[in-house]
Amino acid sequence: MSIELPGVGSKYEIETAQGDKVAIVFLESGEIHLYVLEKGCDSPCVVVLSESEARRLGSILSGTVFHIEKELVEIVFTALSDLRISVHTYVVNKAMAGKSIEELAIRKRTGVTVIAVSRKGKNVVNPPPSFRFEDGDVIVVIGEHDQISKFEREILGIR
Amino acid sequence: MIDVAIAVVICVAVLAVSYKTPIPAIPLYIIAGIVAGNLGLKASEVSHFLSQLGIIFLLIYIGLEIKIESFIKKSKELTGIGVIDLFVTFTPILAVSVLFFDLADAVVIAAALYISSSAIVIHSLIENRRLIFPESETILWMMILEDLILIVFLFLLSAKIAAVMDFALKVVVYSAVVMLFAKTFLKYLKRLLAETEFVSIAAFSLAAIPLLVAEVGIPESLAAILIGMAFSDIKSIQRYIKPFKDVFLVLFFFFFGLSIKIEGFIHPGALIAVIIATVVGKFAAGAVIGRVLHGSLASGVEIGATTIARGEFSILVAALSGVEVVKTVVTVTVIATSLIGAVTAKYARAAGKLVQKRKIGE
Repeated sequence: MSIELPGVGSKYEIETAQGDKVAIVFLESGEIHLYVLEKGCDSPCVVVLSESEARRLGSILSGTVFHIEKELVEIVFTALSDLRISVHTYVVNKAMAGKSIEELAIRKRTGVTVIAVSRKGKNVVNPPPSFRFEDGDVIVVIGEHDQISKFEREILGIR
Repeated sequence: MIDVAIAVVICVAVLAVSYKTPIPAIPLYIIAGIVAGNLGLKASEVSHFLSQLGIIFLLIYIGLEIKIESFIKKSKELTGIGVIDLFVTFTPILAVSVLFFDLADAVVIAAALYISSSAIVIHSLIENRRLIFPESETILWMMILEDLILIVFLFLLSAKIAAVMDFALKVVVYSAVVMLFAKTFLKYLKRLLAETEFVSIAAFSLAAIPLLVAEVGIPESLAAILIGMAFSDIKSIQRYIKPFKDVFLVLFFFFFGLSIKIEGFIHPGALIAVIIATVVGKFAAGAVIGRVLHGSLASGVEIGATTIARGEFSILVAALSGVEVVKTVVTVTVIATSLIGAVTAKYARAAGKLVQKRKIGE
């Protein structure tokens, strides 16, 4: 739950099981202040983040970025009432290799769309449904956060 | 026009000084104005108008912060804060002022000096890294409540007793029209706000409304703050109002300083007494609020020590009153308390801890 700080912005607070406190303050100026207060300590450390730095930190904490072949970019269209689209890259694994987009029924089962495939340095943008994956292909998919999670579970079989 | 040019250059220099030191900018602008005035700089009609815009944009901006729904949600807690703050701060300032000035002037002085400076207090909370502590939330709500009471003061300050009913009616009608307008066109406005070029001029045009309704006898100050409140649902407006507020308000401070006549008609003892009452009053109010809301005197000391600085609102009330004695007393007190407040705010948390330790030690 966010706490309103009138005249300043809004604040989110977490107290850990050990009693340490973390607070994130979104200032009206657009700056993001990350407070860390160790238990028993009275002077917090504060990190000032820009919006993009905060998003990167968020991705790391939420576990969406764990190695280089698997990257997340979130695109935000502020003009379209903050429309957010997650763009992910994945390396094709055994569960997908040798099958086509149609056979896997990726969109039907998960809602995500494969928008590009990179194979041995060559890129295919908007691959047709008949496109067959090979082991080691790097694919780019887009979707909402939930759809991406579903894709990881049902198609890639991870998590 | 030359006065505005000179003012802008001086204010930029003053801001640079303020950035490099812990001294808040508001008293420095006023001091710069006083000095420039004594060196012979004269205000023109243009500077007068720009100062007026400064007041209007400040009040629109304050109005935008006042979100009625959040108040209603927290009304129980907030009423306590507001009432304690008003009585504990206002009473000692009034009591001391009455000893030296006319009752009418004393009331205006107390009204002006009761309100802390949101700008200085908010800045100090961010700079001193205090936003993680629950006391800071209380302090911020205190600032907003003082803004609400400011509306009441503005109303009383502008109403002539005989015409009060007529006046109240006008204000109510105006508020209703503005609120209705804002609600009706909310969706449309939100869409338009995506176009940056349009937005700047639209935000600026909000200032025209108070100037227009002043013609039918509703004071600009009241009109401006009500406009702000009407549009407080649209978050992004604030971002566009802010640059105008920042520029014109600085000019307002400077030219307010310029209008102060330093003459030896106020006893220094009176000024010192008012300053002490102003500091002690707010400190006591903070202590009581901390005791009641957070259950500890340590929190109270922290809240009190953080909110001592007076600034933009005190100057605003003094400027609107137009009484020379009030202007001088308030100006001197604002300069003194904003400097004292900058120091006490910095060590507020440490002071609170000290109180706590001594209590445990007993």
